[in-house]
Amino acid sequence: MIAVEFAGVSKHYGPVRAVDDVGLQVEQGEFATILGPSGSGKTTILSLIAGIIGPTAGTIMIGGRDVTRVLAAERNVGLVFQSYALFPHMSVFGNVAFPLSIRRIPRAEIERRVDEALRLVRLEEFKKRRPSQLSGGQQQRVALARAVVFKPDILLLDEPLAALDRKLREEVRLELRQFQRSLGITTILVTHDQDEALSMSDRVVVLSNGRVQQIDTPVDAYHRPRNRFVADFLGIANFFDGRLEQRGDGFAIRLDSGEDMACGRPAADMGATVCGVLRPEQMTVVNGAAPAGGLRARVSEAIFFGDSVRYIVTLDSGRTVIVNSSESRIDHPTGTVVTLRWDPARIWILPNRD
Amino acid sequence: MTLASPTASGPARPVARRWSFTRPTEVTRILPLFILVVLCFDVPLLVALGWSVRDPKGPDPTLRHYIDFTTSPIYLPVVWRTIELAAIVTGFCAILGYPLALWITRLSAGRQLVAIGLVIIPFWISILVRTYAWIVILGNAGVVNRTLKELGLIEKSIPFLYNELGVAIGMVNVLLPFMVLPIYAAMLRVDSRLLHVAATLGASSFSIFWRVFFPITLPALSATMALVFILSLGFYITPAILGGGKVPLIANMMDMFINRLPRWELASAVAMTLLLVTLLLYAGYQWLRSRTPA
Repeated sequence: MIAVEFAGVSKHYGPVRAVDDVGLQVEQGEFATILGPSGSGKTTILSLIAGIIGPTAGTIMIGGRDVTRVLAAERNVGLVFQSYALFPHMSVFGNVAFPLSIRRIPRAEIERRVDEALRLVRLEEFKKRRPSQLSGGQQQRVALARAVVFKPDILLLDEPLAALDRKLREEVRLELRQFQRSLGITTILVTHDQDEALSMSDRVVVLSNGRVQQIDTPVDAYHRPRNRFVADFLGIANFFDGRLEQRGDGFAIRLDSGEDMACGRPAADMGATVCGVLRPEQMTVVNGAAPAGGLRARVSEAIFFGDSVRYIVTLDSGRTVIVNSSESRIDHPTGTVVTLRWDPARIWILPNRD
Repeated sequence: MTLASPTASGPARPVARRWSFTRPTEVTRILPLFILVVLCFDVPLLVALGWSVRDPKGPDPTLRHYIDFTTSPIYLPVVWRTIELAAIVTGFCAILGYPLALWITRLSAGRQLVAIGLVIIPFWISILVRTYAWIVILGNAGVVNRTLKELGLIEKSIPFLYNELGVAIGMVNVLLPFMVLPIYAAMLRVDSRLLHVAATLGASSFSIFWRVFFPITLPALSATMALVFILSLGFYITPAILGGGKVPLIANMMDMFINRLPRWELASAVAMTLLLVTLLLYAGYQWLRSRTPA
């Protein structure tokens, strides 16, 4: 069953197309992430689902019901803002009870459900506190409890982790995912953080300039990007622009800079200009210049991350390539001549339109 | 590593020296202003305090003037009238000012500027001129009475002036900007996301206003009301002109003590009492302001 559906939805602010002809479907119980750089329109999409703003064109459906002209108050959608937006003049209890008391639910029932929601986010003992007396992480959990206590059909999260520090963020990421699974609630998260998108979601919606670039599972979006923007925005990508050519039994991309790169059987025709995409971890660096089937390069930077090493190498043509090694030591110091190797079948080929 | 090593305290020394060096210069910088405030403001205030306890017949200090003032059947009603009128004026300023400020925040940015300009413009016009303007508008042959008569709504003029109503109207007019501007500023500080979240949580616009927006702006409203109340305690020109001498307030009473009777000691005692009341109210105002979310 489809929980949320956008059909040809646009939101224009004067000449600015914040959201431009977006179509998307989110399945019941799914955890979907809208990923894009700032200004790509992702928060606008969230506001459109929540009903805070109305679209310029198109139809928005929630649970099969056309809600395009339905007020936010009647959409039954839980929303968590990046700033949490807790009511400063109410206690934690008052905040979480708010959606219930608005619905005129009996007092005893409110108490029971607020307690239940606070237990879910492990904040029972903070009931009487004011939001200003809580840490960022605790405030976020209150906002989450408030957003789910009235059993909304959809949970919307607007960069909920952005205000947390790195360590806490990774913890909360896992918690949030478990929380979502245990409730089984359809969740749409908005973020500019690709790690967040890849690690938490069932599906990722990649957005740029108000337009959907790709909707896919994290694994497919990462390994089979539809265009250069998606490849570049999700993780790090090395791009190799060139012309497809036959090489005996195999195929290769004849790079504009002169090198030959072996690749798997491409979907494109021979002679077509294409763009080969290779992720840093899909290549290996070996010592010495042995370019048979590889590319000769010089290490210009070796960055140690603790659990891995990143090499920034320069090809003879001057092109820069980024390679990751899972070895926890620097085997190829700056200045050494190395050879890059890769599995030709792993090169992902984009039709080079952009 | 020992924290108490001599080298550890080494770098701190020049800092300390610099401090003792800059301190006198900082004092000398504010000295002219300090002297001005002490001479022109604090000394007269202390002199007034001295007068309020001076016995004209003897050398010993006395509380006679305070007792005279607080037990007098003539003076005390003036104080009560001032407080009552200040409360009424503050109430009307709030009832008019809060919706006005709210309305301004809902305008487009350009129109907000115009509206705020219109609120501020009266500040540039002499309070005397504004007060006399009310006579033209509210007098027996004024604009309002003439219009009502011509419409046949009334036969005899409504006495707007030379009573408490006239004074109250004039004071509300003068004090309204003081009410509107701080409330407007506080309303702008309210995070619009709170209102959006309230909407997604199921609240109608009515509930959003009464359960979220109004409570959040309430500390600012009460602080501003305290401010307006304090200001209205000291009104002199408006009651003098629009009250026609029939509605004397504390300030007019003090004018009488000083310029007509003259009883400087009694005036000082009244001034000190008013100062004390004002300081207490000001403390309340500051406390309310501290509760306003930033």
